[in-house]
Amino acid sequence: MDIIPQLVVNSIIAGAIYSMVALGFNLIYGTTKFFNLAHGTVAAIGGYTVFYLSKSLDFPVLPSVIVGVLFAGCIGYLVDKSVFRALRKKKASGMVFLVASLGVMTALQALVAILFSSQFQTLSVGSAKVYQVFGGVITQVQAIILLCVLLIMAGLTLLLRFTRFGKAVRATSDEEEVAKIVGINTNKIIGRVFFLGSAIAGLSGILVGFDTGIEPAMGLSLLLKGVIASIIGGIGNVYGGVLGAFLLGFIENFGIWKISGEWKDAIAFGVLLIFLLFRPQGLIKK
Amino acid sequence: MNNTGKWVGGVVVVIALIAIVVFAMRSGKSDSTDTNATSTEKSTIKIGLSLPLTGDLAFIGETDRNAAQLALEEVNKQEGLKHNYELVFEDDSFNAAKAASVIKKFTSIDKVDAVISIGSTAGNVVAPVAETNRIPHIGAGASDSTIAKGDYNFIHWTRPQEEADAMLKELQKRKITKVAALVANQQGLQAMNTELKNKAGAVGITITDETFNLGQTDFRTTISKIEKEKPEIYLLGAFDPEVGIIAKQIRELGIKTPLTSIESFALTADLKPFEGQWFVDAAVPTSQFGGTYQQKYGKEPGPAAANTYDAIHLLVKAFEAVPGDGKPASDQVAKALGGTQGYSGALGPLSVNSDGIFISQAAIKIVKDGKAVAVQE
Repeated sequence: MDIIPQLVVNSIIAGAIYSMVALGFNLIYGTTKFFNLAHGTVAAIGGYTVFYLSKSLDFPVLPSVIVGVLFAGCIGYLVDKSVFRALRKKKASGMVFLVASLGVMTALQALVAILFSSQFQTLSVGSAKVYQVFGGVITQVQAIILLCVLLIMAGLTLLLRFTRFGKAVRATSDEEEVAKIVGINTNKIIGRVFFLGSAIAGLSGILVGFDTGIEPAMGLSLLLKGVIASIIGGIGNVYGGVLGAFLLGFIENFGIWKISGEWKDAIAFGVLLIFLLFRPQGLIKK
Repeated sequence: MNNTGKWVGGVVVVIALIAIVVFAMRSGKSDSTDTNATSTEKSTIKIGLSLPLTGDLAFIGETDRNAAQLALEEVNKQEGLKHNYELVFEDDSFNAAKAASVIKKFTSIDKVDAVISIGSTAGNVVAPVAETNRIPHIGAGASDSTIAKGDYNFIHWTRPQEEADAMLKELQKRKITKVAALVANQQGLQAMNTELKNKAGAVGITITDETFNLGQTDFRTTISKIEKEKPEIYLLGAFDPEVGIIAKQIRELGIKTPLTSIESFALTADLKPFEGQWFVDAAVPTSQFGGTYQQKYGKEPGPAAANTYDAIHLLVKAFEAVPGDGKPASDQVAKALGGTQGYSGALGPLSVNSDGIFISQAAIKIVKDGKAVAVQE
């Protein structure tokens, strides 16, 4: 096994996982302008839905994944409708939204732990197929993660650029009050954005579950990396988030090439600080 | 409702509240009198156990709680004891912050007379508090020797020295000279790794090690890096779930090199990824303890169960050894505990050394049919 090709493959895999989280997170942030801390826990809910359906009810994998994605989307939609919409009506500040999302995150995480215990669980079925790519090794699940990122990014690009819904999302994102004046039902648009962003988060939780495993608290670490990727790439910018995610993947994996692996998170947050200090708008300005 | 009505309502509510409080106080008083009457004025010794009852290592907490309850049942069957014994279980989830809350509750609310903690994470938090509050504390399943510092702290677990010696002896026997160690940043695991590295050079064994943080799930780059050293065996120093994830990612990268560990395989709920691999574990329980436990709970004792069982008996023995019928002074209990020599426990004969550590021997085990089986020398 050659080290450089494997480092490149490892960086791409990490970048793809962070991208999945950053895509959904940026979509929601770009439209609502607040840090939704519950986003990572919605990813965990997607993973646990598949775990429940496939391991407890013996559902086939693919239908379980579809239900998991839709269920995560519905949870995101319901959270927006029951909590964030009421706060928008009261014109609450960003801090209030942040604290509310922290509350939602904690409550959902506790609920998952009560239902499934906080024990680490795996979703994988049988031994993973492995492929050799330019001297590096990649598993079938990791290849699917990469493929999903590309498909979701392409899908979001088409959706946001060429549909009425996409135009409404962009209008709401640019200026919610003006969007309302021109007749856009912003609550409806934000609700749909929450559904879409949470469904993407759910898929990321499911795929991470197949790759490594799931636990109720997995959402926070996933979200943190997704947020760092978003800030590096350009907060609120869907494509910037993907760019930031892959950059973060490369920096982390090449960063621990010559130093101990325990520095990985320190490197990621160090990069975040550098961007916040010297380029807060990220690589691609929204 | 007019003002008079409100006043009457308010007075009724206040009287009802007072009546409830008085009733509750009276019932509490009669309960405690009953306890004292049945205990014929014996003092009650409370032993607090800080265990991982939830989380990834809940299976350890469960087996240790069972072992403690088994020990208490045996204690209660003994005649002529000077004190009553009571166990207080609290969950620390194998988490330092939660262990801090547990020991705070033990000292301020439960007012325990002795504490047992499981693992170095909890042990390191409990030990200084136990020392300050003069509460005898036994750290079971703890490899970090600093936990035994002071007059009130003890460790009942096989020392890293014994485990490192057993590992090096086995590596030499198998003619393995290059080891890649992936070790989590946790006190007990690091203590073992340091001990192993210190001794390995002298016997011609090279250990290349990498440290990672608990909670990490992506080890691919670390594995790719360490694989460049072409190790003959991978030594995994981690708990659930990291140890399983590392094993999975090693195999996914196409690496067929054997895996081993010091204790880690025994500290995982699922041994399947390690089928056929040998490892070093803490002392093996006696067949007598194993049989009694199996008979009561229908399964084999898990990690640190024998140590927890012993810890209860050792504490009871120490409390009973202090002269006088009243509640013994904690310094005398600690002194009695520190004087233990040749005690016949669930791990065989036990003696405590001058550092406050109960000495037991490491064992070589192999994973067979999903179970860790001791290898007979």
